[in-house]
Amino acid sequence: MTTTAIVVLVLSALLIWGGLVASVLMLRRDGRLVEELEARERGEDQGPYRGPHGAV
Amino acid sequence: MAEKTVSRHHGAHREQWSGQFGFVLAAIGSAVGLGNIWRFPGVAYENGGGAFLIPYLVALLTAGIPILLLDYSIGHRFRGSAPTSFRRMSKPAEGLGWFQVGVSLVITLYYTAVIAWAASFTVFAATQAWGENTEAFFFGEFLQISEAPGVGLDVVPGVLLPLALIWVVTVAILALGVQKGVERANVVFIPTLVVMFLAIVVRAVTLDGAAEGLNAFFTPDWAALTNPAVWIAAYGQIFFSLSIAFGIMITYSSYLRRRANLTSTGLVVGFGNSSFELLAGIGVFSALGFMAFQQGVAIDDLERIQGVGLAFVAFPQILSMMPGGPVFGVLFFASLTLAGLTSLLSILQVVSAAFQEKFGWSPRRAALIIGGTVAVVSTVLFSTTTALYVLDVTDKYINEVGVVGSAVVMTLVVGLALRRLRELQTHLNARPGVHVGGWWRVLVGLGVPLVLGYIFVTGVRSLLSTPYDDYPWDFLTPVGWGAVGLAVLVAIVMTVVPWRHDVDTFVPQELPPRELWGGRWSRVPSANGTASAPREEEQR
Repeated sequence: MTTTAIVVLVLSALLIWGGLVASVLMLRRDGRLVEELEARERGEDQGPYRGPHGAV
Repeated sequence: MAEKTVSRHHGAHREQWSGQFGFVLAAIGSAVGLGNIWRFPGVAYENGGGAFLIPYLVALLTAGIPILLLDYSIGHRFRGSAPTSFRRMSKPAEGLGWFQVGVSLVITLYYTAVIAWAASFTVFAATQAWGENTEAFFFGEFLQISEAPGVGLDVVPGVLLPLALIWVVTVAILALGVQKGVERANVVFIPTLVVMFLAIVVRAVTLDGAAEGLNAFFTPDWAALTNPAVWIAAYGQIFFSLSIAFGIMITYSSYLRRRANLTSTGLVVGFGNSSFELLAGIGVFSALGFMAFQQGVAIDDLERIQGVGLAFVAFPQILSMMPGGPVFGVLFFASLTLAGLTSLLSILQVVSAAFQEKFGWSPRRAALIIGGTVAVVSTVLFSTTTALYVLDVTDKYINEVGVVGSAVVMTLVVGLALRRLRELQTHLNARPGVHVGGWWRVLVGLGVPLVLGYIFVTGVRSLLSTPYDDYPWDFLTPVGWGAVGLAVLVAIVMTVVPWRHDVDTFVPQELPPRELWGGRWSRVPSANGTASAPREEEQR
């Protein structure tokens, strides 16, 4: 392979696959925060949270 | 007249994914389809090679992921399939949702046929049944394609059987519902697909000539970046590949839990889809490099580098020349089958969910009635000697007119007519995740309609002025425009049909006061249990 093609391949892989890895890590972090919120809601509320019009 | 009942399809009784993981896999399964494997590598190669990846990434970040988030926010906020969600935004918008259902319906008709071909070739690959002349085998022996384009009813038994089988599997999975059917299927199929495809790519890059193929794929033609057509091709690739703007992601996100994260999920799905495309590009061009090496020609001289020709003519040729061809052939066509099947499930779920909600049907009933009806029409139309012609034209028109048109109208309706983008942005930000700023409203409300509007207008003008692929007009008009007309007919008829339950009593999740919209109010409360300002605003 030519040097240019290798550089483009590596950059593409870093940007796209790196983007995937970074977003998976963010999703895991946010998933934990969601669980934390839900656990707190379960502790604080009697049943699921409802808005003033009964929205669930 | 029967009394309307409160729907079991929203609120506490609505079906849900078992968790974020199941949803992410299903959404990736929907996005990763046949186009990732047979369209992206060829499009990239023809539009600047390595340089194409720049407009491709720009398109992903400025159009793909923003529309994905638009779909997610609509489905999750209004808790319904496309017609339900749009109706809950504004009653006249229901028709747009049904148009998206109509587009999905048309796509399922022919998409299943391609999956059936791939399933058949999985079996053929074990013995390399295609022999020396792969072109004659595919078009002649297997499809028994008629000499002239038309709509015939001469059935090809070798296509009929696998097509019927794929339909039985699809309807059975749909009948099990979202969690037990669609989610479980994706949890099994997607990791299997990734492992099989990785094995193929590893084999492909070690073949003689693979380096030349990768050179052709990655060597950048920087001059291409000044060509607007290359940028349009990049936006088109991202748009068609992500399964956006025709109801799939609206439907899928409506089954997410109330607190579920949306923005990080969108990033995972967007980058996951592109990751698979890049992998496919490496695998396909390594294999094409091997083929060129064996034939003693340059990559430029190869004819079938994308689409049906790549998968069912060029690849069998490559597999015949390759050491271990039967094994990798089975893996390749099984990958195509799984990639197609997971996308098909998502497209048919759009239709099934819409009918479930309109008529109060159970998943099983909807799968049997809708899936069964579509299966019969699909099997009759696409197991014939004219199937390839009808498929080719239907695919062209429904994508360039139906899917792109739906996206343009959706962004204009939601952004300009109904002015709901700020509300949807706030909904996205109302849960932990990457913060969505005002840039998102600019991209979705202005940038995307402009780019996609241009693609739509040029596409329609081209379809009206030049016969696509030299097909005769008396074939193109009834089949191509007929497919678009069918989607429009579904939209009109189903919008007029009355709902069997009270869809309009739904109240979306409460948002903070308008003065906080778009702000960073959505951060999680502090860990000591005292709710921070944002949470207090939500409770108010």
